[in-house]
Amino acid sequence: MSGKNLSADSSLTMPDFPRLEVIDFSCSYHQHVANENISLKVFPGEVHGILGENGAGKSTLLKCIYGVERPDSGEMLIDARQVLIDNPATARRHGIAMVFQHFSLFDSLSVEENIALFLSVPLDKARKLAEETLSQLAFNLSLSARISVLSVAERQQVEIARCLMMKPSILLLDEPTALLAPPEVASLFLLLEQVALSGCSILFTSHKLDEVRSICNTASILRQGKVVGHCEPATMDNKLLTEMIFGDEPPPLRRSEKFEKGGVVFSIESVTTLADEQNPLPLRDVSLEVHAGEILGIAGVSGNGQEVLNALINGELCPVVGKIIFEGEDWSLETTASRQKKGVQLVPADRLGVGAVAEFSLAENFLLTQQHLFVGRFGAVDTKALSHAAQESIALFGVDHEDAKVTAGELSGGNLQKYLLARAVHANPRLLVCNNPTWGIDLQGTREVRQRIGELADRGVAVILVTLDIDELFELSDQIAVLNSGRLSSPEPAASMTLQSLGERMTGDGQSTLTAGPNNTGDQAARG
Amino acid sequence: MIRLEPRSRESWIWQFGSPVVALSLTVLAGALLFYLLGKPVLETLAIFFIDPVNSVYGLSELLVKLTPLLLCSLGLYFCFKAQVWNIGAEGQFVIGALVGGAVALNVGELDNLIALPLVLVCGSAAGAFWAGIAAWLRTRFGASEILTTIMLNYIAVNFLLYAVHGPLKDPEGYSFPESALFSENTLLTPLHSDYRVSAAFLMAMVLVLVCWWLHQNAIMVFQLRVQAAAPRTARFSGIDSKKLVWRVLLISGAAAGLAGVSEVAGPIGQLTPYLATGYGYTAIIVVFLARLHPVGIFIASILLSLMFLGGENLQVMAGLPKSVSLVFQGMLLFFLLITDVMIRYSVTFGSGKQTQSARAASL
Repeated sequence: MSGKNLSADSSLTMPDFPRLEVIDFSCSYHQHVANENISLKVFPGEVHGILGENGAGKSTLLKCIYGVERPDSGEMLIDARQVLIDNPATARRHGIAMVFQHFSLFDSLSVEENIALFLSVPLDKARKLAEETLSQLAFNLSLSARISVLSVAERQQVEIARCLMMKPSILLLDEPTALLAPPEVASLFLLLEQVALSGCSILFTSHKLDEVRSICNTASILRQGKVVGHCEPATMDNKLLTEMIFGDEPPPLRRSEKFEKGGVVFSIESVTTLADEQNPLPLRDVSLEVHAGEILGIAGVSGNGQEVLNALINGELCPVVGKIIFEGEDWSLETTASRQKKGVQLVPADRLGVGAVAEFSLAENFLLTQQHLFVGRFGAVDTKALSHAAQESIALFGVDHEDAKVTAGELSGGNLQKYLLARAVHANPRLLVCNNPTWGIDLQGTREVRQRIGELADRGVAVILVTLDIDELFELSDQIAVLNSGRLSSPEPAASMTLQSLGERMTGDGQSTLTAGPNNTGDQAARG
Repeated sequence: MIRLEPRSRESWIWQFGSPVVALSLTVLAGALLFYLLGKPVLETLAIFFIDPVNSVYGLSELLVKLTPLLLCSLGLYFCFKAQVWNIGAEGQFVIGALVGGAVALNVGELDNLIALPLVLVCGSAAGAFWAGIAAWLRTRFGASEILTTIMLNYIAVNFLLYAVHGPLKDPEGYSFPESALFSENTLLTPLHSDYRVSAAFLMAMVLVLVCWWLHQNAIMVFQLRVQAAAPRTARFSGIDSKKLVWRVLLISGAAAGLAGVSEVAGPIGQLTPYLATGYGYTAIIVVFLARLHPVGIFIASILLSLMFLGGENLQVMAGLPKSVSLVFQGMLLFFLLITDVMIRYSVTFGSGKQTQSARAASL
């Protein structure tokens, strides 16, 4: 076992053996085979994509390489020497770093403290390193902010940044862009290119084919745990790639072209909120209006007030100025429970942290947002009706688990998302709010979820779609508004909007230059 | 090397096995203790655990101890289900007894059908009020209920001492710090003239059934569980956590207050300085031992009541101090906290193949 001879300069001579070679990896959990005879080679300076649906075995493969999982058979070569990696510490000694799909940060510590712990260096050294890396990355993070006040995307930035600080020779990235907005993705890719140029080999999984094509030199495609092909993504178009991943042409979305606008269901009139610890960035003078049968897309870089807007619509937060109106009624002080009863349902971005309780059964989680539907005399829950309804929704939305007794934590991200959407639909809402509904879901699941949302709008539900995914925004929205620094632009028809005008509004060239940037405001609140 | 590895799911076997193992360890440690004190081990254990209940009178005395313990524990069930750590059942018990007693001393002339309910309701309300102070401090200022309820315990006991040394002292009591005996009209009379068990026991049993029903059916208990497991999810789904904190503390205080007032208006029959006998604290052990389940609370309350009786018996029969029962209580909680680790972790010897979750944790 030798890892000492690894260094970036070995790449200068460009050896003709791969930096990393995986030979016949197989890995199974219980009865389920996650990886079967996987072989691949990655050369120094190469960015290698690993493509496949959710459950194709991408994450498992990365975890095997990083030593989190141990393959049942197969071997691994680094710089043509056989290595045995049985835990992440060994992997790190061999110069391997990994960014996980799920975060491994300490919520109660600050950004710099997390970095210092991760790198095992003193705090001041960590701070210096971090400042350097973050400015290179163009990530706008405050080092002293506690992790718990950061948005999901910001947390992911911390994860990526601290891995790069290790100066790894092999970097594993599991869905690193799932939560990043386009400008953030662009700067990440720029940096990854630099990192690759210095000789580091990068393995990268993503569902976003455009990204894969733009950054990956080579790619391996996984289907049901096996490698079904290698390719050079840049030379292929999306259609061809999709075919390789799924084996056939995807069915088109059914969202009808024309929508028939009904009356106004929900409106927010010039609402301003107070900043507090949970919502460091308040909304300022926000107005919107959504009609029956309409999908209003809310675009924006993450951390610009999306969570506050959700809390406001859900009734967790009251406006200090302005009004909320639902079907003609003033709802500014209406409680969450009462809003649910009268027809509002939310599907939050953070599925397990907010939308569901991991250790509760699916049936119990069903109850959360529609308690009024299942509570009878003396406040008793009708458990029979509840598990029946949960079961029915599971079947209706094709959630891959036939039993409502399994816990929410046991479902994959895509399945849980479908389930939460099914839960919201069951309550028969007049207004549905979806947040990043397809974050981290495979292509098939994404297509299904988007189709469902479209169908709901066609049936006359007013939908507010808060999303970081531009494709999704344009695919589903009838009207688009942009949230920037707690301010919302006035909605415009999606058809008349261009990517450029949207991008300008999101990144703050428009009205937001008048006010402080989003991160500054947030950080000050977080520090206080 | 012995290692603890997190389980991927909580172990159901240990969920129920843990109290049994903890009890066994407590008995073993108790045996060792008796041995070190130079007492015959088996006989002393018999005096502690068996002798107190080998007669009908003994069993009836068990029910007398069981009544207040059950009431306090059932109240704490709601608090602990929501992870609201009310350590103040003792103080709520004392205030319930004090206020109920003060009312009893003043309404002795009224008819029994009016006076007794009045006494019970006032005692119960006083307990709720006492817990309500902690609820207000928590919801208004974010003060930890653990600290406020403990401090309120001391205040309650000192109020009691002041009352029996001052305003409520029996004028004809030869200066003893005790109130006058309550009038018959304000007393919970024994169910049978040979024993001291009163109607309060029946109330406690009804409450066990009510709690059991709530445990299995009520939306409120569901909300308490959500609040405990994921406060962020609770807020998202419209569960008003402040309202819950108020509700569980008021319920718990009322139950402890009822326990207190049924003691003074029952077996004791007057206010004395020695009302704080630890039911409120013991109830905490009961609820944990019971795995937060009403039926478990019933069983665990019997066990802990037996320890109370056993301690008194040891004092008489074996010349050991009554506080032996507190030693046993302490050991029981101690061992329970240790064995409860097994619910979430498994023990492995040597450096065998790690489980998946353990490896994930070592990242």
